[in-house]
Amino acid sequence: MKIGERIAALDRLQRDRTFKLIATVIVLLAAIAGYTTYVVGRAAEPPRVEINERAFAPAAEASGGPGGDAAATLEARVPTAEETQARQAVKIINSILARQADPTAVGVLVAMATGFAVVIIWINLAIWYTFIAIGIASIWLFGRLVPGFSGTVMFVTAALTLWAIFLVLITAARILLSGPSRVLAIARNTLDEAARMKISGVFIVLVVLLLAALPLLLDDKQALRYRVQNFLQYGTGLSYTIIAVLCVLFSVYSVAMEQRSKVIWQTVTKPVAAWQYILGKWLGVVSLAAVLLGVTGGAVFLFTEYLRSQPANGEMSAYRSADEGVPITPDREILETQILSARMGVTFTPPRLDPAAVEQSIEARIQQEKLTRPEFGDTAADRAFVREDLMKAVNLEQRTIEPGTDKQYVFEGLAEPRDKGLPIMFRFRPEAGSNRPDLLFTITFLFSNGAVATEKVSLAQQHTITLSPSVIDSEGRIVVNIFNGDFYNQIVNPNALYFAPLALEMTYEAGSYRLNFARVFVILWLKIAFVTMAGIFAATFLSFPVATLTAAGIFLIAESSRFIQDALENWQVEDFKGNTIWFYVIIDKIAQAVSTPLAFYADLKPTARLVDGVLLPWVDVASAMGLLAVLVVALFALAATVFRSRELAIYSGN
Amino acid sequence: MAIGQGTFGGSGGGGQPVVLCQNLTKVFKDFWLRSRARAVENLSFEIQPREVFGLLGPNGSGKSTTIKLMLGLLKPTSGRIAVFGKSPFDVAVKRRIGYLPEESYLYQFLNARETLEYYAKLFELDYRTRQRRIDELIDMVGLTGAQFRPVRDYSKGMQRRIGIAQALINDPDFLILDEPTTGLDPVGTRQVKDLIIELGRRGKTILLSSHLLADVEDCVHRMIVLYGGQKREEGTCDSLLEERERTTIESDALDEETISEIDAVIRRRSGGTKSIYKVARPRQKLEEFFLDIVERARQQQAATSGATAGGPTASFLLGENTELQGSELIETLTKAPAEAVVSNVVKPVEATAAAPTGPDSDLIGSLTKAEAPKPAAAPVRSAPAAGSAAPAADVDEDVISRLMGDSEKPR
Repeated sequence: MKIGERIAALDRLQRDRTFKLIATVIVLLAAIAGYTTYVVGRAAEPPRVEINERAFAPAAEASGGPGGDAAATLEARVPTAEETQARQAVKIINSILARQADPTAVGVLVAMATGFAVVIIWINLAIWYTFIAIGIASIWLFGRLVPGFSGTVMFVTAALTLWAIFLVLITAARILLSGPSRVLAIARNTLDEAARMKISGVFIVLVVLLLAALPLLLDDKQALRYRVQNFLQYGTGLSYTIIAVLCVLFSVYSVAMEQRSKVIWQTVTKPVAAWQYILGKWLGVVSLAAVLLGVTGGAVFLFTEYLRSQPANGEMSAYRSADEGVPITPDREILETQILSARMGVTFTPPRLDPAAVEQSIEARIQQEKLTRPEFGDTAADRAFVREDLMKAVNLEQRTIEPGTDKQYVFEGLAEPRDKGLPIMFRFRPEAGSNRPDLLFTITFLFSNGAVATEKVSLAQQHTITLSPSVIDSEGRIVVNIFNGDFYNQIVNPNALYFAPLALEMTYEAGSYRLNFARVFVILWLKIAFVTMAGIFAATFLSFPVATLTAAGIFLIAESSRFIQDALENWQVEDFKGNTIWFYVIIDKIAQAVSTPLAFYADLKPTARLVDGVLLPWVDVASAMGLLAVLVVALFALAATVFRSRELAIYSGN
Repeated sequence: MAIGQGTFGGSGGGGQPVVLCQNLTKVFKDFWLRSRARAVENLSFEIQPREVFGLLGPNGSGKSTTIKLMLGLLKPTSGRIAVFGKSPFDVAVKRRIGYLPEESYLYQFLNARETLEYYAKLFELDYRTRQRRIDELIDMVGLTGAQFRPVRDYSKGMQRRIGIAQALINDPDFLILDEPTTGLDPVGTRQVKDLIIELGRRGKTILLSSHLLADVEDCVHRMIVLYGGQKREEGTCDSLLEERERTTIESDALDEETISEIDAVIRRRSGGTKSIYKVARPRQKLEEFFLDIVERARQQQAATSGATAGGPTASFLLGENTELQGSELIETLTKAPAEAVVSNVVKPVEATAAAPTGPDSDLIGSLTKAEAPKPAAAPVRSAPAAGSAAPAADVDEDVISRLMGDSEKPR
């Protein structure tokens, strides 16, 4: 019997009802037996991490503050930022350890796993999954018996696991699309085409192998938090790019090549409306995207959890510090509270300008300009130009601190962390001059509650200070004066400090990492749904190569629209003599037109948020969904209209 | 001038033609909107309900273009075209149409079952109906053994068969077949022709486009001949092909003396103006000879990796007794004397191989076997469907009945 025939025979076996019933019974009995064994054999009490209270006893002298005793007393009355952070981290770790040992939680896990196994049996994947499990067990056994192949073992295990995830998701998608409606029929046909096409198979295998190989590329000597961040960055970002490119290519291919090969004649001569065809194609491709993002998400999530269970720097094993005096290592603390988290960020409130003063300033600037350029007219356009220039100057000045001076920044909207007693992470990224990497600048932060922090930091790097919620005043604000230098030791830095937009931020934990993770992937899927519809629209009236270029162009513009918008701010349409260069004007107008509607697309930045542990709230998801839905519907309407009016017996003029 | 999407009055059925073309013109233009080819010019014709209509012409005569205009794949430059009284772009009209294009444009990655499943879903057929029809159609086209292989592994003939099956999945009222026998072996060709006749008899309206003239002649009631996008001739097979100046008589083998006597009778009755031009022994057609060999091989159960013999016509296409399946239905139908032709139409080879039980069986068998006219013989045609607008053959039944004596008259 040939392999193909054997595979077909096995497939028929796993579809047999009797087989499914027997397999279900076996799985249920195994689950019950396994859980019972665990409950009987588990330890009485779960392990715990305790905080060293002595480490946070009030200090005899404060460091670096004026009126040292007063400062020390002040800090003794309220918990320090480090103590708050440490207590928060211990709380998180103990909850993790307790969850691992809780029989109820374990029971839930067993029930979920059993349910999953039963689903696998009844969607006709039991035998394939058995083979995959045998493969994983075999490779693990091989790894145990033959040392030195841990990388290979991990790679093969990961690849087989991801393949298992892919199988169940693609089967589930096919089941969901198996209704008798025309749209679903076209969608499922499209999904089947994608799954069976060689080029799609290459992309799918590429995603699986990439995700399986990525962990092997991480540097074991690197801090655990950086490894996690790198994996999140590349695992999510690269996979998204590959999947998006696949969806763009396939959406164009599926529509354009059906017209070219005339296969479409057999469909449109059936009672299928143009909009049903377009919608079905789109649904098929986004279903594929959902499946592949599910595989990616599963892989990234599972491996991140695996990394999390590895020892961090300074630990002898996961969550157990090697130093008894340090309950939580900095590496673990940052990982659990800042990265595998969902933090809300607040930037400083810009100064409230006096309208009268602004107008006076504008007037003064116009008069000043008239001195050097008599032809400078007092038109509305000129005033708008001067106003914009003035605002840029205000913004720049607000963000720049001259050497030996300070500036005050007010961060509002922090009532929630104050009320919940959540620590605040103050993130800042200073820049100065050419940002020499060998230079260290001393910066002093003076908070309104009297707390002081003096940091010696490198330039053009992000730094974090943990603050106690006591720095938040009764109005939910943090007021901080930033001094360019060491305030108490009268050391002044050589250059002015500059903080770019979003380079000064107060963040606090505002949600669950897991839910945030899910929201990030929802946003990624929505973005792919938009570029898919763009590809289908292009393919309704363009040949395959031209439609591919068009769709790829839309994708690239969408991804880089914020960069384009930022670049246009510095785009000059006049030469040094003040003459207008009309070609540059045309470029400016076109760039504005294509990038402005899509700027929100680039601003979503789901991967960056995941990597930085920044909250992606549901309201952002909803607004993104709304805006992308508008674009998708607009493209859909255009595509259906064009398709309906096409003479499908003619392809590209032939 | 492009045609809008409105109706042209009434719905299909009754006396309204299934297809109405009036001064239809299609001019293909290039990217710069310059006229490049007049594919169809001022074409007018009608296809009546329950008619098997032939569309003939050499390559490039406008046959396929006309069909594409009917199906909304192209827009007319001027003139009007209506299908079931509505614009070809009306989606609802397509529920009643089955289309087999000149090439089998199928999804290569699907197998036969999946292909039919997909097209059945486009008609929103429920699960049970879909499965039943798919089973019957696959059996009918002889692809049961290959139904799980992807279409890309099929031969051209096998792809053609599945193409025929998908054209029938919705039990269409109007079936458009563009070169249906292309790529089929003689067995398959015979089955397709029998199927067309069967469906025509069942009240389907069929448009058959082909340049295999013998195939068209065997099946159609009426036809038009195109050349250069224009209609050259229109009419029934008899009206177009019948040679009224001559008569062909077929009888059992005659000796020379008898032939001479008949010649003498003809001369005497015609006053010497008419006589026998040719006396020949008819010979079996190559098609029949071929089918005989294949049938004998099948009976010996010789192995083949290609398509197998087709099964009976799918019951849902026959329109009645849908609870009966395949051969049961045919068997039921063949019990009725008026329907005796059906069994021979479905399996003509078997009818040939079976020993005739009497004069009646012989006559019916010979009438339905001889589908194409012999060179010197009168054309032998299948009986048109009951109640159809089939043209009445201009047949002198008195002569035939005299020759046949008390034998049953053809319908």
